[in-house]
Amino acid sequence: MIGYIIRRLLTAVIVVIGVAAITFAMLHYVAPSPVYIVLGTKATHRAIEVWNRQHGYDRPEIIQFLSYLNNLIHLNFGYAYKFSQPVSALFRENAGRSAYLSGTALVLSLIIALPLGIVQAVKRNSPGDYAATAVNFTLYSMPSFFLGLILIQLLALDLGWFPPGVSDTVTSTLSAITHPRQLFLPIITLALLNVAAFSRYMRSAALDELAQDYIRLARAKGLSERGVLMRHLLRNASLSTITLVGLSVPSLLAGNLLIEILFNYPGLGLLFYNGLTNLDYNVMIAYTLLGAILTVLGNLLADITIAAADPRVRLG
Amino acid sequence: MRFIPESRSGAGRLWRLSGLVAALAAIAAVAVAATGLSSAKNTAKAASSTTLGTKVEDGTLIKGTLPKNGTPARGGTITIGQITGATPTGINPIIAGAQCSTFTFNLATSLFIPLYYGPNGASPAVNGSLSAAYAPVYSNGDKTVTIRVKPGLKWSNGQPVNAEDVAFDYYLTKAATNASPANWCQYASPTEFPYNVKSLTYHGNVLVMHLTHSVNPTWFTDNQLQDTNGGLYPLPASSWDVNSSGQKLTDWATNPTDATAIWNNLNTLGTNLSDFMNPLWQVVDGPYKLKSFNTVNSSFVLTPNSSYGLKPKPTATLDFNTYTSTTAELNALKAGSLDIGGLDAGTQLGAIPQLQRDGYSIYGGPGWGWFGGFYNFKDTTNHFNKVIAQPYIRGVFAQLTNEQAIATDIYHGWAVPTGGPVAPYPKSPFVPSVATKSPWPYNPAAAVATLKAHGWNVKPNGTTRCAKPGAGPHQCGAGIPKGTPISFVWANQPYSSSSTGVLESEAFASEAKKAAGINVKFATKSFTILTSDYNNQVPAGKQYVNDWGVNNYGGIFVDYYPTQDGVMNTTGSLNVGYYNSPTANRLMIHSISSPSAAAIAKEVSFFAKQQPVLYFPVPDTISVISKKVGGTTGAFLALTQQQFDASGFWVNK
Repeated sequence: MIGYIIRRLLTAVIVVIGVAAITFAMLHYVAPSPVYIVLGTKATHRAIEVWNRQHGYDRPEIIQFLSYLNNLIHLNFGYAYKFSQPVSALFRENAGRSAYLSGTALVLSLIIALPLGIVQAVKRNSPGDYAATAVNFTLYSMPSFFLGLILIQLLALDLGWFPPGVSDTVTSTLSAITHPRQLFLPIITLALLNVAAFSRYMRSAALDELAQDYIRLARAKGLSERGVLMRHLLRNASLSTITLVGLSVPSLLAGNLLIEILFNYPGLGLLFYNGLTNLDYNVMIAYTLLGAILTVLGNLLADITIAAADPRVRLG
Repeated sequence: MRFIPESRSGAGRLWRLSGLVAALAAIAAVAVAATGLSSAKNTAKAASSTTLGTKVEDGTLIKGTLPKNGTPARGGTITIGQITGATPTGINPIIAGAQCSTFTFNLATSLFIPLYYGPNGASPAVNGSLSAAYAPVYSNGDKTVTIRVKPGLKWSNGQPVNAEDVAFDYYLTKAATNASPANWCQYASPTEFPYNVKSLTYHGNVLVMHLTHSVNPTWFTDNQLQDTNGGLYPLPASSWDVNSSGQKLTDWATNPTDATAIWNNLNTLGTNLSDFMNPLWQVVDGPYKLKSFNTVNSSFVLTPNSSYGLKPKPTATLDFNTYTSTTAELNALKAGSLDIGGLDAGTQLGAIPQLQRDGYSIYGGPGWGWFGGFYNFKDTTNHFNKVIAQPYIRGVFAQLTNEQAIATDIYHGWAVPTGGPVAPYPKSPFVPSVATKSPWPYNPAAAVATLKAHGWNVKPNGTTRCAKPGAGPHQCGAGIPKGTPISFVWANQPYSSSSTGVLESEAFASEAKKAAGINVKFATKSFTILTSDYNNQVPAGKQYVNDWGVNNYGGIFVDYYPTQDGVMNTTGSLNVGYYNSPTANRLMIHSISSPSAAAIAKEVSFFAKQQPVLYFPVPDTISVISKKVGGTTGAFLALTQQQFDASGFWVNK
């Protein structure tokens, strides 16, 4: 197992360097230096030269890239010129809020989706199953911003139950936790979409498991239905959902870009959006890298968790 | 003198969406349309169904109804919307080029009293009552300017505001521009401020500037000292005269090195968002103090400055909330959580009936300046540089532009047609209305006749080509070979960023093709590319010089004294198409140096006739004000000029 993890981590390093190289090359193709963003378009040729030299943008691009990688090793993501702060400081400030938003939505969706999927499987082809399936397919086919817009119109603008966006009073992770009404719509939007996906997978997996001999055996030896479902079915049927949760890790920490923009929620997604609008490309590179790192780690985490949950799985 | 490039869409949002953001916005727009929250259809329907009238008020054309002045209550909070990317990025009143935006200016004027404040309501003129000094007195053949700072003004630390504080700003500005012109966004040329001041003396509240040459007093007051609030400010010399180590440097007037060190310190602290709450910025003389600044989304809160020496005294706390999009801002207005916001004329007019039912006042007026597309006089593709160099061709383009239809059908009445650099509204105190009339009114038949008269083989709906090359009176023009088409690339912002800009361009292209066989090919570029790369005045623009024939990034906020100096002179920093006319250069110099009031009218008339850019209607800035908010009429009108007069708003009793 440890050898497997080390090999995967080494592969992850190569993947991240590759993503960094592609992102770096693309951004440098669009704008070789952020000098105009910093000094303005009226900067003199002399001032541009001086600034580029001071900040290393006069060096060959391969040297710039190697220097960037070296900084990454030291967790230095560069300086956000438009935000006038180090990128790492900005990430530290926003990561907690994004994690809270996506984490809460993820936990909430698991709490709803796992039992829902099992109940649908047990009561399959019943009116309740059909109704839940219809709702799930509708939600599953919906982009997050579309569902968010509908919820804003319905719950915020028409009924006035919740604010349509997160106000500026939410300035820290703690304040996000202490303002549940403000966070209701973004969390419920994310959670509903996850519920749709997770419960479909859960239902499908539970149907497969219900047909297995060990379930019949458990029932035959007189175990209660609740015991069958909770002790035998849940663990085995959850394996596919574990993979899905692993793949959700990037959105868990990198934030949900569209939801944060839609609800005005200050997290990593909104930071990236602001970085785009300000052409602050150190923020853009860092966000892309973070996404790559989390995707790789999420996959690894899912594999390890499956191995832990299913004794039949051997990593190697 | 200063001009600020203005984005096409919304309330002066200078830096617009690009790339992925634009795509996301487009997706969101589709979703919004699908859900019925907003759509072009219901926008148009609502626009025609709303009963918002239009009337001339205080010299400008106001559509809708201004809010009532009301009676100020003590205290209360007014929430104000701002859009991501359209927020202040600097706090130092000596604003650098990279921080140059109306949003930064508005923060500066909320914290510091400009030496000369503008506008005066919607009128492009100095507002004496909100200025730190009395009107300047010119003498010695307009080579000497005497400025008297109003007595009784105080810094929030109790120190008096005096002429030394004005001199402090002057010397620091000079140090900044000496280091690099990019360090001061109002820098125009080595012959203008601060370099047209030979020397200055100050004592008590009186400061005297000795200029290098005679100037037009109106130009010097409005475009150099006032300069759309980017000009001079008294700054607290006794508190800010320190370098980055905190060492006191009191010889800034005589030692340029020390002045540079002080400016460096101010500039560093003033552009670093996390330093906005530095105690240094708490020493203010303006109506407000900065209470908090959110470095994540640039939201901020202002509280009244009890030391403010002018009237009206501020009473309310101002809470500036940042929204990720105009849609999010509109949602906040609908939910009643926002007191002052804006509407996008291209996409959000459909919300007006609901907002009116909710008690909001909605009104708009045209901004000072012009909108239009810059011609590229260096684009050699299809010999476009030679084609567009012909004044009659530019006149033909103007005659093919149906401005009235654009104002009515695309802006739904929230725009004012114009034919030159000075729009008919708001009325200019310096230009007679006759100079604002277009000498090239919409007339496709006349346009076609002009082309034929100059030797073009006109093919309506086809491709018109030059049939008679040559520089004679009935020939196409110098350097245009036989068979040359009138074809060029027109660069716009994405539709998601500027729907109106795209639509009006298409309106022109359609008319030009149908009536005169002129072929326009569209290209979509971000606002940043249009201002930074499609610009023949910057080194980065060289590689793109043949990529565009027209650059329609929006328009220009013109200085109150509406000379085009800086925009249309050959090396003007905003002359992105490299228009080059010795006559124009001469007229602009005359405008800024001659005391004659006729000079500026002559210049404006010249540009209206020459059409160095393709002028489009000037859109309104639309404001939405809740019934909770009262204020001075001037403050409400100033919003049409995207100027936030902070002391002019209050919570109603």
